[in-house]
Amino acid sequence: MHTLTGRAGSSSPILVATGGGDFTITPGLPTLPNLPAGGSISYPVTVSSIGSQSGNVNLALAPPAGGSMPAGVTYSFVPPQVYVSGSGVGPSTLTLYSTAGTPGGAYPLVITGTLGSAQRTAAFSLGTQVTGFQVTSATGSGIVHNTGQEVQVTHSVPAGNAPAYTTCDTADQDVSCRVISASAGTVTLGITASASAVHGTRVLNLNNGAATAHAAVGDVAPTSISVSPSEVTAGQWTQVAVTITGLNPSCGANADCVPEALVTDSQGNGVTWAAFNPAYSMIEIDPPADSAGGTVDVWWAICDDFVDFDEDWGPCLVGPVPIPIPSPPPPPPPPPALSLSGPQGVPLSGTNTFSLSVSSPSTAQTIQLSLSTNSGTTGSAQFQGGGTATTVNVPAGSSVVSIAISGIQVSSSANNITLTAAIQGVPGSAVTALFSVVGVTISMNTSGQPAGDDAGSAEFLKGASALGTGIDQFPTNTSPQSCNVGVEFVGRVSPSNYTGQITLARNFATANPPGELYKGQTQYDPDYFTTSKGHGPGQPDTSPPELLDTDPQSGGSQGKVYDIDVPGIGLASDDIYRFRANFVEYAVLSDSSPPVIASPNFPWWARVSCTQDSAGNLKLSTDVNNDNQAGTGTTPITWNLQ
Amino acid sequence: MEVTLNAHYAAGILAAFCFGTASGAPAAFSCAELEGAKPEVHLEHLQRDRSALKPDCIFYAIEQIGLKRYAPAVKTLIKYLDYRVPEDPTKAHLPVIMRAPMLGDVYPAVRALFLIGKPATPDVVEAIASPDTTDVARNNAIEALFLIHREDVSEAVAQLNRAGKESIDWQASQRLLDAARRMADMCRGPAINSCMNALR
Repeated sequence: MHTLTGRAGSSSPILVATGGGDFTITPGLPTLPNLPAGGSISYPVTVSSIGSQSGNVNLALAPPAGGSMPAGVTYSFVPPQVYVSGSGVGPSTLTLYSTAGTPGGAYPLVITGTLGSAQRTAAFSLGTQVTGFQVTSATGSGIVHNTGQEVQVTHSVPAGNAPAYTTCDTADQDVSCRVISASAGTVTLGITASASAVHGTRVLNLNNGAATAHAAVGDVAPTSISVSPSEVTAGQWTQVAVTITGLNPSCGANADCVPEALVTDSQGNGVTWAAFNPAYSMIEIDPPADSAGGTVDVWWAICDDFVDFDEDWGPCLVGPVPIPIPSPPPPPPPPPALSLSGPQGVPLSGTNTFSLSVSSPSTAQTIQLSLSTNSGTTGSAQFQGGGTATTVNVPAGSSVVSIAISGIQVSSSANNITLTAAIQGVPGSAVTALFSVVGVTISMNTSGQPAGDDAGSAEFLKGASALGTGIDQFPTNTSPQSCNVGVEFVGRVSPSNYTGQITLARNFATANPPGELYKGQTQYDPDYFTTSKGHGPGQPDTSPPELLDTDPQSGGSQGKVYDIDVPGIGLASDDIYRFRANFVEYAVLSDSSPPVIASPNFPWWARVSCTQDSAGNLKLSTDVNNDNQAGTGTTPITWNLQ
Repeated sequence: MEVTLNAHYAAGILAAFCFGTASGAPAAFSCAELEGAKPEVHLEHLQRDRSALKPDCIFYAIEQIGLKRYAPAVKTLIKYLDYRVPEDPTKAHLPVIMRAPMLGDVYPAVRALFLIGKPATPDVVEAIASPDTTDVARNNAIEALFLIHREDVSEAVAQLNRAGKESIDWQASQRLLDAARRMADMCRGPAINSCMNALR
């Protein structure tokens, strides 16, 4: 918005000598330069006696003959009558009041004093001020380039008391102005800036200064702008040399005419203001780090940031000159990296598998593998094909390779063997994994109490009093009784400080059938030891977790794991029920995936015959020699063990 | 269990290991809709309206949560402490054959809580103290706590005893102290002395 201040006349009194020899009327300086619309202005009025004339002088105000009071203007004298005598003076104050609609302009008025039949007058010019008005629109660019070409600008003049403007001029000889047309509410000006006009703001005087407006004089748009380099880098300051052709030579010669570059991104968002020093023809641009792939646009301001255009740079800008911000080249692929994962243990005389991951499988890699044993310890392992060094080729696209390692000699201490993998030709790529070669030796306890460090013993002793044959009651003391033989298996782990999980697992023996049940001397439930019943040859029969101790270090075991089994049989009638079965116990590295066997098979058997006494209490039947026990190896599974 | 219960217990150890167990616990139950699901899914299944669930899927979910040691399921497992494997009436007259049954075979949540281990202890103690816990569930909670602390049962006895003494709810206190005494009675062998000492 352009604010124009209108001034329609001066209120400075014009002193007029009036006739009459007996008194005079003299208006003084007003309280304001002009009578503002809707306001007031006061003049001191002095009535002076001449020639010892005395009496009351009545004061009045009127336009001169043929004139008129400005519309809406009223007045008062205070006092309206002054007394003069001798050579004295009588003071009064004339106050004029206007309305908002009082038209601007200069109005001659006359003060008349009447003493008896004598009248004396004083004339002055009242300036009434136009209400401040604004340009609410402007045609054309609003900018007057210093090309010598006239630019037409139409202003809206909303002030109701604005006079019709007829003349326009400026104080700058290089800038001319004329009123092309004027009508109620508008005035159209023609403004011309010569080639020598300096960039900046000019005051336009309407009706010889009755109102003013402003014109923005801008430099001639350059005919071309080029930049170098042609690219800038995101997230980095870049000095860009700017070459401007065709810019008015006056631009730059004036301190107010330093061109500036407005740098925006491809969305039109301002990136930065980069001051341009013509002496160096250089701007600095700092595109945001995330602007890669876009552009920055250099706009050239050809008019100054004068107040009238603070918020509207559009007319002042030339451009854009786009400068691409190239996307950074894709980073080079990271060097291939390896990672190894695998079990804590490799079984003696068995194999376990490690997993080797290659992080950058885009190209084929040759991986060198080696096995070494810590000095001062014993134990050894080898790769599946033999030896402690080998290579494996990982084809492009593959990322995981399985490495099978066999245990040759049990480790003397946990994690004393190192598997090393390194990419051939890539220094620093080596990774390692530590493990133990693990051996487990199984033994069997069939009497006495379970070991104190056997975590499964607590649950066992809730239903049985000791290992070996007995009448047990599981899981609670209200459950049916049965005749059982409690057996504790001990797995001695080497190395003794090994911390991996080891489960003593069990299968039915592979003989078919692995066992038999009898009622007296007759086969009972003949399908029991069949595959369809889940008790067939070789089928699994591992104890529930409550009876297992799989941590070789729990309870201060120092390398022992346990399994308690309680095989046996109860009664369904008043008869002798017999149980004969063969099993195989073995150790499993149960935290390997998949689990692997870590011991030789430990064959064992259990046989129990159960009956009841006259009171109905269960008891072991002793009618068959060497019955009711468990042992290593294999048992006959006939009723009489023959 | 072979006789009086529909024991699912006996599936292959290698199959169980393939599910990631380190204990040798067999994968005994089957439920096609939960096969291969994550423990979060099993837990979500158990948290549904129990009456609308298939028993086999309940047992399967409980078992899998135990095998995976999925501690976030503890509170839900406690609600299943009195949920038992139904008896198989066709085998009710048969004798116990071959293997002593465990409580976890009858109440799978007991085994699952045992496998989860000590992280389950605070909630199990809370269940023992709670008036909302059924007698069966409370008894099974004591059994589960016993198993969790089986390497040093006196530790569980002391914990119950301490919780009972500290409780400001007289009835809860009595439940906890009674549980402590019952658990001390379950100690055998060399553990008896330490369990009795833990009652002081």
